[in-house]
Amino acid sequence: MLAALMLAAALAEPFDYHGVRGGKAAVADAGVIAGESLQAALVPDFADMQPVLAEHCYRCHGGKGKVKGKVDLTRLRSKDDFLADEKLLGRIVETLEFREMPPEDEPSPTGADYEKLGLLFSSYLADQLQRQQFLPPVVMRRLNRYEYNNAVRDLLELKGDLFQLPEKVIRAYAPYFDPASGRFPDSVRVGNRALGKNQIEQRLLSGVTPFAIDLQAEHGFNNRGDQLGVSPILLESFVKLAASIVESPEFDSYCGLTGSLFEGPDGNATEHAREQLRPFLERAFRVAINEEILSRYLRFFEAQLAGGVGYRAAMKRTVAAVLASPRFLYLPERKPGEEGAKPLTPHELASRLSFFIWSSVPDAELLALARSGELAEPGVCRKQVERLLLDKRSKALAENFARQWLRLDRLITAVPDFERFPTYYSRRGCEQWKIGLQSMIEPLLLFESIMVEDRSIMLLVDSNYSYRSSELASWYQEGVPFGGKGNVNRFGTDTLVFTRRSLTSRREGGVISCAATLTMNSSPLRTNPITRGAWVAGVVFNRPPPPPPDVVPQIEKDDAEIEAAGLTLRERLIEHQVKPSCIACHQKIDPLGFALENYDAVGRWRDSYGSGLKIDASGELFGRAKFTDAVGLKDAILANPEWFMRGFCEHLLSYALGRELELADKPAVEKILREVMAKHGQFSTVVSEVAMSHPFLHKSLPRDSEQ
Amino acid sequence: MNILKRRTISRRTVLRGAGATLALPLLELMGGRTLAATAAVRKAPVRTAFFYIPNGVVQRAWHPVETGRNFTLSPTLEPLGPVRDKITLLTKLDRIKVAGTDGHAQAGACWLSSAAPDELSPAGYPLKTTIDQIIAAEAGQHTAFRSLELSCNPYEDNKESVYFDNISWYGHGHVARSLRDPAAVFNRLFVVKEHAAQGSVLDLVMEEARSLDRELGKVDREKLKEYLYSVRTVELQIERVKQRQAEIDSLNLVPPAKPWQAMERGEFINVMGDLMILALQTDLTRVATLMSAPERWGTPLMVHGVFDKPIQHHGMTHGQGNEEVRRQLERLDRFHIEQFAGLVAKMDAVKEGEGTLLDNTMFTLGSGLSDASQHVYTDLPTVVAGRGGGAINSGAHLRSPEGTPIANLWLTMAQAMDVKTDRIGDSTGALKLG
Repeated sequence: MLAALMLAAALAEPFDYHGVRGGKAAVADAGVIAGESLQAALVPDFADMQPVLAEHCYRCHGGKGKVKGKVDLTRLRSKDDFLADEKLLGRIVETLEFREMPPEDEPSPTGADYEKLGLLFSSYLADQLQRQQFLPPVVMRRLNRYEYNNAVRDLLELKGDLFQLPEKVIRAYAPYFDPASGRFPDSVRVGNRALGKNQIEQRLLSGVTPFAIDLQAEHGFNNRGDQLGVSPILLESFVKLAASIVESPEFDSYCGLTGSLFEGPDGNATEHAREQLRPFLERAFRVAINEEILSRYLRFFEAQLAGGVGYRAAMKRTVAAVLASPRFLYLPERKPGEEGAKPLTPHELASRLSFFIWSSVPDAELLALARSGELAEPGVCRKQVERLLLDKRSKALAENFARQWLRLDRLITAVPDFERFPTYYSRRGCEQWKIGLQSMIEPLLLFESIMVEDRSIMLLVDSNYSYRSSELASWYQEGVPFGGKGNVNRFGTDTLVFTRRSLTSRREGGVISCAATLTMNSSPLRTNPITRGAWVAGVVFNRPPPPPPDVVPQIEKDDAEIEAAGLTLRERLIEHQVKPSCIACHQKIDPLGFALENYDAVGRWRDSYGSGLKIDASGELFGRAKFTDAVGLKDAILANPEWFMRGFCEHLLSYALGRELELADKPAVEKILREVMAKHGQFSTVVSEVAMSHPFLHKSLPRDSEQ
Repeated sequence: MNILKRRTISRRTVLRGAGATLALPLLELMGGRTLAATAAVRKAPVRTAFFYIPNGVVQRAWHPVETGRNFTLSPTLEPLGPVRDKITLLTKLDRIKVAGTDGHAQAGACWLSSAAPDELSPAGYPLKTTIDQIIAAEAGQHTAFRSLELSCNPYEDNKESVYFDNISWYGHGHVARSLRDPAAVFNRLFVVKEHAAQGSVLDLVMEEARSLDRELGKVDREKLKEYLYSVRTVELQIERVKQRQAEIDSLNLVPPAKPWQAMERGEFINVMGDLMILALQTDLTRVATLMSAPERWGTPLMVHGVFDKPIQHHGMTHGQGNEEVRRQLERLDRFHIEQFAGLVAKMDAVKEGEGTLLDNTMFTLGSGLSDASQHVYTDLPTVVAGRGGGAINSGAHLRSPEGTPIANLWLTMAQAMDVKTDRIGDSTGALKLG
């Protein structure tokens, strides 16, 4: 089914992704998903394809006793043989999808044969995964710091955040994010925390300090159960933090429940507390509240009252206890009764949805639909996804998902050389003030605008507009930015106005060719094509290269040194790849980085190297699309949109689930991809297809062998 | 940053340290106050502490030539001169790196691991309960705090995963996350009121956790165990801290006022080290780990007094081929040893019975890599300071036979700390240090 997709995409006219907009989203799907039956008809027989394998694969994989990469294809002589080795089958399908084999210097099957092989093995894999009906379990996880902030804010109806977190890169000086408007403003006034440190140091509630940041998984997000533990120290923090929130002197005026939940009655305190606590507990714990749970907190409340404090203080202590409870701090899902994938309960679904799109607890409407059970109906669920996306709280997808997806945090500590790149800094003699950090905001605002206007995710690859401050605009477009006055005391540090600007050059725009990602993947004195390439492979296509070997030869840190010897960085790197094992990987990683070699170490375009040597930015994408420069790379991605779209959908699904994807998720990914392709990458389609996917709607026990 | 309210004693003396302040009458005084009463009735306990340095060390400047008692300190180890008789230098101790993760990934996370190379966690690391936690399970029965995990990780970015930021683990996937903020460490250890208020909340959430436990599947119940364990530990902690409340109050300690973000490198490490020493000295805990910095984390870092500009430790290790870079790296290695040596000397200045706190401690400095430029996991740099209450006959350089697992050292320590075991991970037998 996949190869059919690729064929269809390749045949289609170049598509203008800028035409995709919210409202007029119903773009004809151009027969891309012509139906499973047609695809079934296209699937060839193994017997017909075996000669192709024999000609192109067996020589290294099984023939004459040679078994490269421990893959012996000659022993697989029928469909059942392949199905019996699911892992290998998965590797074969992936290898074909990304044209990783045969190696470049070996003859490749014809285009048609290649497609047929892809079709054959994809169908095998689909059959196999269908047959086993296994779904990798999601490990129960606790809220990370970002989610904790949002959850407490929404639960207690606070006027704003609990604390200023560095996880929120963009600080809005006036609210601008309103998906319901369908239109992202032309200019936004924001602050960049890195430029104005007071922004994160400002206390919103006295006495309330955040617990330690939760770190991202190596190729994933900071919401995975296996990495989000609770230790005695953290438990202590949670208990103290909860108490410090409700006891903060500003709390009463900051909290929207001061006049309701915390307000004592004229009559019976216990009865009143019972009425107030039940809905509060349901929101906090995201489960139907039974008498056992309710009475537990009610008893606690009464004990506080009996201890001599007033109603308000007793309720505050009770709320603090709720915030330290495992039902609040974790995202638990009730054990499915039996083997296999089981639907989530409506409450669990509500919780997964709100934590996916809002990084927060469900609101009253979601909970009401969970209580009535209606949320389990696909139509209702889909409508809720749309509603959640149109709510301002969906900004969490930009703040939490996009930031981590792009690994933008790396920019915070990038240090382009102070002498070589003076424009990166804004104060004379002071390396702490980095005007370049403004660039961190650019890709996030692009992401937010795509969300709000419901545009195509392909704009993340190639956009004809961007949001920039006047400094950033100068950065990109002027030969000597800031009128040559970089690195002098001339820039304000409080607020910045970012304006939507049409881009005239396709060298700019998107997340691959923006200053932030280009700078963070560079070294102080030169670009770092391998880091850039690995970033493109991992972030853009979700195909991170394997870890480097233990012994890696070193290259000069300064390209001026390399060029002084008459070599370009590319020539120098190739000179260093002496072992076949190095070459095999770097052939895949490096071209993706060299494609960006026209951008210097702070992301500014250059036509040639400093020494005048010519830049070679050519390469080939997944063995199929040749390019000569960065614009060509973008064209190659646009011409094969399934590569980027699959990567993006996988990232988002992994984020939504809070776990790493496995082979068993592949059918779901392909289904999501099919719908997203049909809608040309429209953002809302990506989110809703992820939310409506099988792994998102179901839970599962681990396999027997893993128990 | 004063830790004492009393005017006669400058708090700076205690918490500044900055490598140079070796003699600390204050610690001695406090030691006298806190332990005098108990020393008479029981033998001073043995303590175990670990000091982690990331990214290995420059090999040529690390290794002394001679073995045995008459070895000459190498250039990097020179700062240990004043305490030379109380340290043991160990060479040729190895860990086996398991293929499949990046060169640095197992260096810090698995340094203290008790997993054999073939015991992989689901995440692909040979990582299960670390030796400090194995010891804490025994030694922590007697103290208010089971163990103490500290880190001087100065980075405010999110660059590396949890496996680079921690060396202590309760078990598979259950990290004993370290504290980075000295003020928070101080509050945890010495502000008794903080603990007292938590009691009834803990009862409640424990009950809640037990009821939740009944609803969960096997994997999630494993996860919830972390919570249950944490509640139980904190409960015990509160009980025990209460018992020592008067004693702690009488110390009149004042928390460090300067935020760690404003501290210079040496100052940060020393303040954390002082807090660790105070906790060991007052017997609030007997097990501690202190990371001088996290593994890899290619973020530039200002090391005041050593370099004029921020340096990238990890990047420098890969540039060792260049003579100038190698010299810089040697200076950085030496800086770390200076910090360690300073803390060792402070421990030795704390009188305990006939000897000193150091005599009753095994304070191990090490790194999970030897030569980081090639990510070598053998011949790990290892210095044990202290005599472990007599378990170690210090003052020697012991070179182990080729292929000796570092787990042998951990086994020795576990046994010295009364842990009943004859095997840790891939250990082949206890290392003889006596």
